[in-house]
Amino acid sequence: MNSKLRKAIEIEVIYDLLDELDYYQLLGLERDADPAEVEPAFRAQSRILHPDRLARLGDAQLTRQATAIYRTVNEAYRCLKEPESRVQYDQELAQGQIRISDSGRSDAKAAGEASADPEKAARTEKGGKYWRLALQQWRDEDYQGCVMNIQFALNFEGDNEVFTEWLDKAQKAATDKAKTKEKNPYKLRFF
Amino acid sequence: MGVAVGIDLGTSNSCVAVVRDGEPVVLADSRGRKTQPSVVAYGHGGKVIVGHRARRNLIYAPQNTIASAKRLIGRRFLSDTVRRIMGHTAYEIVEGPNGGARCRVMGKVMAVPEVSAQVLRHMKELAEEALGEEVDQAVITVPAYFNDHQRQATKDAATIAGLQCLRIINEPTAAALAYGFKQGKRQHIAIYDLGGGTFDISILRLDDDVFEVVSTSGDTFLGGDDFDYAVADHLAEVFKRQHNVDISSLRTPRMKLRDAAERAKIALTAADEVEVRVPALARAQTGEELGLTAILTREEYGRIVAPLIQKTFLVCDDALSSAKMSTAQIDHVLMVGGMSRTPLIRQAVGEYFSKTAYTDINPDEVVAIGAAIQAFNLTAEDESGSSVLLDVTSQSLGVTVVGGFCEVIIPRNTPIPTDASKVFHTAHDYQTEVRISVNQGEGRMAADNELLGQFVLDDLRPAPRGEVRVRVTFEIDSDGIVRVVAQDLETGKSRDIRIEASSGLTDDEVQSMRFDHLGV
Repeated sequence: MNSKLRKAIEIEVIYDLLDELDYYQLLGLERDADPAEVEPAFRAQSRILHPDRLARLGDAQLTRQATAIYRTVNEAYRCLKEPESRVQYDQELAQGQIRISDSGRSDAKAAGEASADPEKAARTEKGGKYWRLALQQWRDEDYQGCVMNIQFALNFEGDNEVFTEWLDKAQKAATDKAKTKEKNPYKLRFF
Repeated sequence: MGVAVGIDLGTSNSCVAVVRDGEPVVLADSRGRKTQPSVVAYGHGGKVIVGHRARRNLIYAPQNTIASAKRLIGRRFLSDTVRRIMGHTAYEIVEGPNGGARCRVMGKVMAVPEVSAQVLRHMKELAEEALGEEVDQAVITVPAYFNDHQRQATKDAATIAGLQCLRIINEPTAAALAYGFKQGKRQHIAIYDLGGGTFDISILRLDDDVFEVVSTSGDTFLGGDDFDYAVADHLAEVFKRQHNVDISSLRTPRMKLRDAAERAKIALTAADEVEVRVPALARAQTGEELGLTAILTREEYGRIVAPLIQKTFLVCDDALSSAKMSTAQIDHVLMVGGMSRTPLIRQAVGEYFSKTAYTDINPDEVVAIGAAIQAFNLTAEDESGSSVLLDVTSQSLGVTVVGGFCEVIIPRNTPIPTDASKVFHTAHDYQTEVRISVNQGEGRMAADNELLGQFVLDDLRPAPRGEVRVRVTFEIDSDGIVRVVAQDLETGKSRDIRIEASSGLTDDEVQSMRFDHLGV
């Protein structure tokens, strides 16, 4: 069998199985693979499955199939290379979900951000109280309230850098929000 | 089938290369010149001149000569960028039928891809002459920071010029391909690409035959031209001091000063100081012609352009932080673009990365060489000697949500090709239509980003709110071009939606502009 034909069959087989392959299978990894193995596995699969590798065959349908496969390979790599999203995915996978759901993805992202700052940023009890309120208001998009509570929190912990950073952020968001009230140029409207 | 080449369609200069017997070769014109100015001059009777001869026209008939069309390509007439360009050009920029910027020269209005197509055809013909074979396919490079519109418009230019565009690739990525060709060593490299009109920085991981872009960042409005304008402003200031005449807002003297600034910049790469002489810039009240004579030192030049260089490092910081890397983890720095010839910039880049920048490959040719290598990767008979390029999307893709905010669907630096979906619900009872705006950029507010287009999902089943759900899938292909597919989750019916490129050309328009169809 010539190599071109073999490659074409290989792509078709994977394409047919695509909806059944989990991220580990797509990258050719064991489920307990070491984090350091993810990147080399992605490169190895890219060498074989990247649609550019098939461009020379000039078969449009095959290239389309390879593109669909490779989009999922990219998705798998993005998910498994970050520890937070990998943990999230492992949980979903245990429940039979082979693709990380969009909400799962954003939850994982939010979790990643949370570990970096908010809730734990306060060092005093009183500061913490206002800080938690401020964060809740941030989530509710009540930026003016958020600004006010951060300022209160700063009364107790004037040197907290996370607070000052968020104060800037909230002030900017509050101004932006005030502006859009006036203009609101591209509102996603539902008719 | 013809030959596949790589074309660096630059803001100021263009270059074409091809891989022959496994080695990349830059193709020169009959006089041995390896780069051609990206300048198109329009004459009487539909006559068009491109390249070196057109460049001379820039001084004598600037209103009929289009330089730096790349700055306009894929841009909306009402954008800030176009406003800024209008202050610098002698030809007229007008609004096209669908809001895109167009050029009016000799009474004829042209879409910008038609102008770029003249440059591409010039490069195609040059390559055909050099090779003695037909050239019909090309990989064309664009700045990494080009958005969907700009990429699509560049592809349209290729079609108009009679070239099949095999792939649009990013300039810094192309440079990395040229640098790492057959090198095989695992390493991290940064590409600092300061060209005529744009600045890009990309960070890549090279591993044998795989070239993986880790992150990229850029500024589509920061380039050598801005350095020239900064110096021209300085010269106008000197002239004002000498003669008490303000010429800073006059077109022709400005063009002369810009030209002098560019020549001074080039002279300063070798000399420590240069004498700038520009005759006949204005007339005194006595009727006497006034010219400028001034000395520009390297130090003075450095002082004038320092804020611009500093701006590039802010963009570098951003790319490094996206890659979660520090300058210490970068093994090599490669400098590309004409501006990398400036010793001052080499030195500043060296200091920023704490290592000497690699400049061995001719900065004017390296991008075209990379494009040629990618053309080879996509067309070579077998895989031996070819490499695979894994690029990322340089800007976030999002939709506008309530409050005018932008909700990111595909974040920047996501490897391409890629896709992502979002489910839209109806928000009102018996609503039968959902309107979605798609935009690209890093702004939190949609208004700060480039609006790619809007589309309407109609014919939805009238039902209580929230009941009708439509899944919209956004795809970005290997060229960095966006496609949208909507699927009604109730009926499973799917629809391919073309984002109405509100400033671009329709397929029919592109076809009607094709030079081979027009017989020009």
